[in-house]
Amino acid sequence: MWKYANPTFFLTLVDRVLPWLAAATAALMAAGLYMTFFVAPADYQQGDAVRIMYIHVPSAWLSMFCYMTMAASALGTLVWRHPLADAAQKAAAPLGAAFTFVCLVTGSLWGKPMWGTWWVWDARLTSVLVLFLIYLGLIALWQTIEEPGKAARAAAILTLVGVVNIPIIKFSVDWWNTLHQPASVFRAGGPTIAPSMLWPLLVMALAFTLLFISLHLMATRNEILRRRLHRLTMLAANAADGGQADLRFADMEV
Amino acid sequence: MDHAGYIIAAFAIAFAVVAGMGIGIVRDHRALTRALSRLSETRRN
Repeated sequence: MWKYANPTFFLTLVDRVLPWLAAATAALMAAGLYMTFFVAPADYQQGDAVRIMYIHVPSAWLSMFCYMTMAASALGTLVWRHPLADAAQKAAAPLGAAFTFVCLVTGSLWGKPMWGTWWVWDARLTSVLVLFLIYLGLIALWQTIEEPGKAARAAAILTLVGVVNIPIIKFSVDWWNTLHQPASVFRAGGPTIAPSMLWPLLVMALAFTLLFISLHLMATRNEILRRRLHRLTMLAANAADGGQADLRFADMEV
Repeated sequence: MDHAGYIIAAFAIAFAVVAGMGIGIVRDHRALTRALSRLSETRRN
């Protein structure tokens, strides 16, 4: 496992894996979109508006999956202080924010024709909005703290504190009386959704997951390169200044 | 297709956000690799 956590090995691995991942993502996304619009039936109550589900639900799942990825990376930062864990966590935050944003907007666009309103302060919607704010807070935290080691630890702690929101999102529809429908796929007793709708949904969810993995690998690679560039720039400045440059943070880089 | 406007808007916004992210990451990568190669050239000289 530690071999894969080596930044140089990671960069080589990403270069090798990315073309295959991108091809698989494109193929699954094309299949998922075809199934969404030409295979999946319209709902007997919602009509064609139910097709928004095929983009809303995968982005909702990914908003939580991305956060759990960040939480695992946060543990890597706090327990092993591995710089790749922090790079992976930092790279995931904007992606998580984007998928949560897509989830909120598509949910709103689905809610208007079905519920008659763009937004209600019910438990599910509010807890997802809180997740979005946590993502923004984490991004702001990394921007605010200058010293990379301190920023990594602070972000890791905030991420782990924010994990409490994930079961709240998942079970909000069971714990409280909400306008949002209860779980119909991941629930005790199996899915209640018809197979003709479940399969397109699973294909779209898999396509979105591969898309997230591809983007996350690319963003983590960028983060490693950015830290290397920073370190090399500081070393070059130090050499030019005859060893007088401020190298306090250079040793924190990957 | 009923509610076509909502469906098109949902898919268009989702794919615009995802494409924007992808393009941003690729651009960032190009800029970083260019800067790194420039820096290593400068150091060699």
